[in-house]
Amino acid sequence: MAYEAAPPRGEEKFRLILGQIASIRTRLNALALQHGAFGALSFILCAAALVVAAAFLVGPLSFIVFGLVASIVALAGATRVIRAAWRMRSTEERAAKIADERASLKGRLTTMIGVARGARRSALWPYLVEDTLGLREEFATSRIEPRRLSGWLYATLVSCALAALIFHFAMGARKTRIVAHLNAAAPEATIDLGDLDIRPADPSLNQGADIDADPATLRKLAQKLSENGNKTEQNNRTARLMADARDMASALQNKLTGGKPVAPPTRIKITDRKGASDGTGKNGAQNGEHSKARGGRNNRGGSGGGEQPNQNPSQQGNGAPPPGLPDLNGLAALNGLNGERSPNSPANEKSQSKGQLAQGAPNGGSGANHGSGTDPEHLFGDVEKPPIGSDTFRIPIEVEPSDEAVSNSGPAYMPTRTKSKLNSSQYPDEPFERASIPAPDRVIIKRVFER
Amino acid sequence: MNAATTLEAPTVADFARSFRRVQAEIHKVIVGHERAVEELLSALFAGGHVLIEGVPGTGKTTLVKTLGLALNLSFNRIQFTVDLMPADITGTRVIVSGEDGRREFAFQPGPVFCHILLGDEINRATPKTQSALLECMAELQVTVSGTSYQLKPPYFVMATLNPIEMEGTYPLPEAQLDRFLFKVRLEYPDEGELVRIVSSTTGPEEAGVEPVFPAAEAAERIEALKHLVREVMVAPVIEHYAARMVRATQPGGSRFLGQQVSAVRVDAVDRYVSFGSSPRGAQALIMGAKVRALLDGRANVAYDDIDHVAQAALQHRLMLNYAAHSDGIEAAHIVERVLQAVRGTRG
Repeated sequence: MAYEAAPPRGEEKFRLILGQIASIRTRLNALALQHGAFGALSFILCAAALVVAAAFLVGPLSFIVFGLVASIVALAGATRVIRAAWRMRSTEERAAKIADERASLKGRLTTMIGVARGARRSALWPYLVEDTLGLREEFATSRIEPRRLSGWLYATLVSCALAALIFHFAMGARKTRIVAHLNAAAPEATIDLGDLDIRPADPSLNQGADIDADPATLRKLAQKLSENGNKTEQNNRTARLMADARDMASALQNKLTGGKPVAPPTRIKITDRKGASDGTGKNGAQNGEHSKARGGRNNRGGSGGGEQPNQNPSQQGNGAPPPGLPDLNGLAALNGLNGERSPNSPANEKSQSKGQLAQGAPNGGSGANHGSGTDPEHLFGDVEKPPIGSDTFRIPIEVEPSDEAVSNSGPAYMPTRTKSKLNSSQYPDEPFERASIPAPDRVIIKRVFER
Repeated sequence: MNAATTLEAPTVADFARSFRRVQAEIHKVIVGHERAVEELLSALFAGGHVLIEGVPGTGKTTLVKTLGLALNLSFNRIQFTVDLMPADITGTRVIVSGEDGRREFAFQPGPVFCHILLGDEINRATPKTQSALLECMAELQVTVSGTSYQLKPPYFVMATLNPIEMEGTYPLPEAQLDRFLFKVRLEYPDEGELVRIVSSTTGPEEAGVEPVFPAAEAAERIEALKHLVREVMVAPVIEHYAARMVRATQPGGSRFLGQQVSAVRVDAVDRYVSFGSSPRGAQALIMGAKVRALLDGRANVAYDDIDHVAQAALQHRLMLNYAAHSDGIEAAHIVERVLQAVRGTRG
């Protein structure tokens, strides 16, 4: 015998309606939660991806500015989205109101929720419940809010894709940079002690230099350093703050990009013209003092230099400074790695010989300065003109106030950065136009270089 | 057992059916004016009174007479004139001779003692006479020589105003205007309606109006329907909506508003209204909306119901200033602006 289910009474019908409103409310709140979470995540992911991209593309100061702007935008966007999500959250009344609007129920649900809490229910209450229950299909959860996932989910997915893409390229670029840094040869330079202006170090520059000179020159350098040691304290604060900011940005940038892990120390050969004029070999010093050591290294024909005294301090004894002079090892440790070298290490010998080559080859230096064209096999390639466009070359001039001003007439002048445009026949890094070499002359020139 | 106990409580469907039947009977005689007739009946079932504004010849008196016939209720008409005295409408004590020949004072009821009263051109009577209607309308009683006489419900006053020929008239005091639930405007009929009016009123046969309710139970049935209207439920948000609307009719600088600032500010109100609607305006909105809801087969009031009755319920409660008169601004324009502003706060 089949029994028909007893029709629900007024209160049960009302509970059915309440359950449906609760279901709508749950879905609306879930959407609001997704809106807030995915929205905030999208902003943060986008900003992070852009910051990583900026780390590869712009300099430290631009990077820190961009990073700040991106962070502020991301924070503001995330806050806005979260606030919107908070406003989207639904109470029972709000869910009923939304259902009323979307199902055109003309306030039936809102009235039920509002009136149900009252002490006295109207004589028309059963009618209202019955009437509303008859429209139950109209306010089914799937009809009031068909979405289960917020639209912000797609924004988050797009942000993830963007971040993954940037991360992929960043990793590639990072590896390339690390390898490039590892392979980079230490730059070398020869500087005359007399021309050496010792000032407070620029914090943005990498510290450390491999100093190579005869003991007498090193002693003079130590004296000069000790005289100027106190002047470092007189840096102005703004410059220091700027330097700190730049350091921080640079460190963060390096962390992200993997660039500049440890810059190889510059090898500086210090000569002392005054000291050299007292002894032998001053001709070589005069000619080769500012030529780059790299040029000397590449110059195969520059071995026949002038007479050069053995100036390597490590070859003269144990390398300890004479009494009454600053500790040269300490100086070396301060400035570079010179003190760590063993007296007979190949690098040290190479360094010394390089110095001799540079000093003893008056013409060799100029030949070597042809740079990449010095390989005889590749001397006569096609003349490749770099594109002339709106390229300019920049001459950054950075100076800092120094107490070594000529006169005591107020603070030192701080020049601004200048940016000059090239004229129509100039190319970047090549002030003069390269000419094509006639075929008959090529053989002669090649022979000269082979010799 | 009296009739009251035998009558069943009307349902929502009964209400809508009765309302539509009365409406249909009235339209047998009255051509056009659908909106006016609906508002008139809404006011009746909401338990209020109506102020009808219209030029002469638009069927004001016919409308009221037809309504009385359709409802099967007693009907009286007073033509207000300058020399009309309060006693002329409320009634007075007169000396009558008893069977034993003794003379004594007896109360002679005036024309207000009926179910449906038409006060024609009420603005032609002096304020004193106009005020005589106040007690009838508000308290359903008449007090003469210290004795109060009850009026039988349902009691429905319809007063007409002639918007032209304003010379020698006495504009109704605000207190009296406020006692009318709705102000209904009878527009001049268009050409098609005029043709229908002419053809239906100049022929040999007159349209007959059939009473919707039996005479014995008409008053009781109408009272039951009025009670049903009061049972319609209103959500708190709807009540707030009506309250916001009424407050929005008050100009910002009104000294009667106190420290509270209206949630909705309407520039037109600040500029043209010297005093806005009283709380009776909110009551009128809700009661009118309840009737609308029942007509729509609902037991609850919706926002649209409030909007629908806003013009009829509020426009006669706004006191416009001289700027409005000089700019040709009418109260209906202001109410429309208020409606637009308040609709944005539904949330």
